[in-house]
Amino acid sequence: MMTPRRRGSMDAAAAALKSGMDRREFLKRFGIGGALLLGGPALLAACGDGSTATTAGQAGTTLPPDLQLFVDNWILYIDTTEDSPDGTSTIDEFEANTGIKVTYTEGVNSNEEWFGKYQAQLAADQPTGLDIVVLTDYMAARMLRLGYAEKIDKANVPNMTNLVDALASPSFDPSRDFTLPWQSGFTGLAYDIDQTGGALSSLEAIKDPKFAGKIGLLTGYPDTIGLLLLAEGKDPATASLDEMLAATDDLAKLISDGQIRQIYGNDYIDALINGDLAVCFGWSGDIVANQEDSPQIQFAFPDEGVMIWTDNMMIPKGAANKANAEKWMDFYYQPAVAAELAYWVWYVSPVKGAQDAMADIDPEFVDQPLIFPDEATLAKAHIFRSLTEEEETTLNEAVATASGV
Amino acid sequence: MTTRTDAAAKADQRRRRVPYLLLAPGMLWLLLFYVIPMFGLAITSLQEGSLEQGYTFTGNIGSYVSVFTTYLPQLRNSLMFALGATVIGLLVGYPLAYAIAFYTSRWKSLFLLMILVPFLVPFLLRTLAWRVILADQGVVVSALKTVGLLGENGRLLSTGWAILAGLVYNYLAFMTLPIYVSLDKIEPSLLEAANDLYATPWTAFRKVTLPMSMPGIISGTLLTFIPAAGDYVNVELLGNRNWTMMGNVIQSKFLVIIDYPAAAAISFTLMAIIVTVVVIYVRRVGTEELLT
Repeated sequence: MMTPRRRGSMDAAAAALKSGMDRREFLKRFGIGGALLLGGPALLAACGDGSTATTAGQAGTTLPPDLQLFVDNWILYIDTTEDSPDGTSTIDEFEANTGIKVTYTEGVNSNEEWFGKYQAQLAADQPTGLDIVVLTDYMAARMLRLGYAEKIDKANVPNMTNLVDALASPSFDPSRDFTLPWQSGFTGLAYDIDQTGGALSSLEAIKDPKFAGKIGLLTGYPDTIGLLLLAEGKDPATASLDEMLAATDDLAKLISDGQIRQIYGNDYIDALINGDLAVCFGWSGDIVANQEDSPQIQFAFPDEGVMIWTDNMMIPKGAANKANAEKWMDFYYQPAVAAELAYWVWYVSPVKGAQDAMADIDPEFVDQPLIFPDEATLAKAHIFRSLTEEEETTLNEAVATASGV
Repeated sequence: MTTRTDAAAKADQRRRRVPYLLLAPGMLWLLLFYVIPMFGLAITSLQEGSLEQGYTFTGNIGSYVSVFTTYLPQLRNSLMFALGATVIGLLVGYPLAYAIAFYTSRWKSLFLLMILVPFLVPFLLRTLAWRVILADQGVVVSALKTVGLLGENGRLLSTGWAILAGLVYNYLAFMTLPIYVSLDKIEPSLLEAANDLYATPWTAFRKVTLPMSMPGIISGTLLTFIPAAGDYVNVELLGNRNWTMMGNVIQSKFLVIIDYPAAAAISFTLMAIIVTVVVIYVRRVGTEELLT
């Protein structure tokens, strides 16, 4: 849900990524045009199967089974290119270090879609063919409620001690027995300064009639309802279901008043870049990574607060290569590797020591608050509390009704 | 003598088996991938429960009722957009097919190819391309603003008009090609005969060409109306939340809310409504007008 993801299925784009471009350059070259063709959440929903790479289970059949690993992640959420800062991608390094052949797919296009795709297999105790999947907090919580994840053998993940304290005990997995953060990020106010005519700092902007029809919201409830709660002065970490439902009424009103142009997934960024949107809810890394080519787009931490979320690695039930999955987790919790990853994806690293390691890659990034948020930044950040199944269904239904479905 | 009759009988038997053998692959395919899933869907639609608690069959028909209590606006949008796309598609597609069939003798293949080429691009990319065409900063919007058809703050993308435009475009080939096929089959001598019998060109069209192209019109309109009524991609990519269709509701129920019984029931209801509309249409237009 929350990564800087564009579809990588276009040959040109894929070739460009392979031939040596980091994410910033990639976005610069393919920013609008490429993204328009590549992006789109509905696109994913519509194809049903959005996975662009080899389907897990097909590749690598000649290797001994214990030397394989199937990872399913969001698009452009890893330095798959050969020219990561030190010349090799972290996947290459992992393969060289462990001798494990990684089949890395970018099949997670939205949390809901991924869940819809694999739910039947998980429920029927059939293997998904995946060893690692990366899902956002609320979907990770649902996976755990349903018992769809394997318990991590922490003895195999000694570097897990590098997990930052703030993420060590989420309510859905208090001692991180099943999940481990991949990256975190912020959902805040994104806007086109050419259209707004000045900096924005309040969520009130989405109610401003001046921007009617030029405002975009996001599909996932933790993003949109989270920020609408903050706009009402409520804390999404503690809000009651009734308060959340009241926020869906705000949503319904904004839509029927014609304030809201559309509710977007990954593709909000394209609409913002090409001028269809003046103001929207957006993800920190997306905005910053696109600024080089589209300097008019800005990201603001609203006065009322900003949402913070985490995408979590987990081992789907019945995974064939669980020990290898644990090696993968351990590998990415080395500070140097974590720094390399964060440098490329522009999101918040969950690994202690990554900030120091960043000095070796690019000293300018050491104090980048979007990758290594300081206390002041974190003080404004709110999580969306985890919901019970019943609460989640009620809220999802209310959001759907408010959104015309 | 006896051997010959035996052989003939056997050959006869074999010949009688041929139609069944020809039908078998198709029937098997439909049974496996259509009838059985439909049966599963029917059972699901009568269940109650949730993903985490499990679903149980209770014969609950509440989900069917919800279509008419909760989703009437979406149902209306589905039928309205599908009808609009069919009518506009016909008005655009018929003259197009007519021109290709009668006026492009040398370049016929080229024109047909030009209709087909966009369809080599995947459906989603084609729809996404419309986002560029209709964008606020795009040429179409600025042109319409210049001639005053759109207000200063007017837009096309994320409106009902964009949904309609997307639907018409996406199904235009399905409208045009069947009509072309039926027009192309018309013997020129029939039109000459009409002319010889003092029919004006308009009368000739009305009495000869139009009735003879009716099968194409029926196929074309059905091939447009049915998928358009179930479409949800155009709303998602080109429309906005005030114009959602039934397809969007089904998608949301299946993927976001994970209410499989409701999703199944709504799918069935939509199917039943589309079938009803189609049957009425085919019976009226299909039989009567074909015979006049």
